[in-house]
Amino acid sequence: MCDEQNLISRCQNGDIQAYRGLVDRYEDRVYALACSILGDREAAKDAAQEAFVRAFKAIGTFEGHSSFYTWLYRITTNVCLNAAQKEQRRLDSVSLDGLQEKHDISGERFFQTEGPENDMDRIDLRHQIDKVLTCLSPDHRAVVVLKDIEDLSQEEIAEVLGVSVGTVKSRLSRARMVLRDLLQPLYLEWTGGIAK
Amino acid sequence: MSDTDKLLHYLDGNLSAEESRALEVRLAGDPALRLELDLHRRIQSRISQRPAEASPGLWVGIEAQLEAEQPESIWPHLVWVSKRLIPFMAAAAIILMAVSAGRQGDASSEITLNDYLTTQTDLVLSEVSASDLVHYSDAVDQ
Repeated sequence: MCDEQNLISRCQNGDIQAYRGLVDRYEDRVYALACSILGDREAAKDAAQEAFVRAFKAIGTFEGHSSFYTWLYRITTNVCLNAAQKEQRRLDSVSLDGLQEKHDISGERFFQTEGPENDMDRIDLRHQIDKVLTCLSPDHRAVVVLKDIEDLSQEEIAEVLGVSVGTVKSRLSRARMVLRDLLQPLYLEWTGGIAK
Repeated sequence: MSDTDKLLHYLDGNLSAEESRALEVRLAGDPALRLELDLHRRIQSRISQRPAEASPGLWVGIEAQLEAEQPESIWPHLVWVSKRLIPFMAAAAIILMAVSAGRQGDASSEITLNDYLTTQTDLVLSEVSASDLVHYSDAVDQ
């Protein structure tokens, strides 16, 4: 952490090479977050890169009240939300029929409890989850990603998004209802109406 | 609070111990509610299993963008120019000093000349006055 503080101080003095240490440390997590919110690797790469560039430009304002990663998380999430909102305007709303037809999602594949066994399964699972998440609005998607994938507390999510904890709870609740409405038919088809 | 809200708060750990116990009692006797809880639980569980991808390597792009957007400092250019200008500036200073010294020399000559001319004029004037005075005296005598 001292090493990190040293890197941050050097970056605050305009040392671009010192920034490489911070990028190396956090790029996988930043990229993974961008992928989860945007569901597109190229868009995620652009967003992650932009987030790091913005963070360097603003690093003089980083005062250490939160951890560097929480601060970076906030910038990354904002960049991804902006990109997702632009993309959202372009996309047609996706219906369940469209979801099943276009992305080949079946209840059995989505709800089975076993984790992916090989690379193909992992790619398929990631693809299915991304497609489900893109059915949410960017604001709702962000809270679900931060809660379920990044495993942040509601307080941490509020800090990252710059909103109240009440807003986080409300968005999370609405997002989960959208997901329930979207996936319930698949679930009922898979379970036959009996909890497994 | 709707049943769905209660289930979601229950899953997120936002219910008090008492509220949780009350919900669990209801769940035991309500298969539809149990089904909905299971659905939410599976959705959350599945999303949390999203396999992460390693970064494709961002540093090259970040560094290029930062270098490109770095405000260009004028200082290195000033140093470069000043290094090359110093000999010319020194030569120019010497020339200026020489010219200035020359002009000062001319100026002192002019003063000497002026002084000389002034002296000579005074002498002429004084001579004229003396001769005029002689003529004036002669006229008076006549």
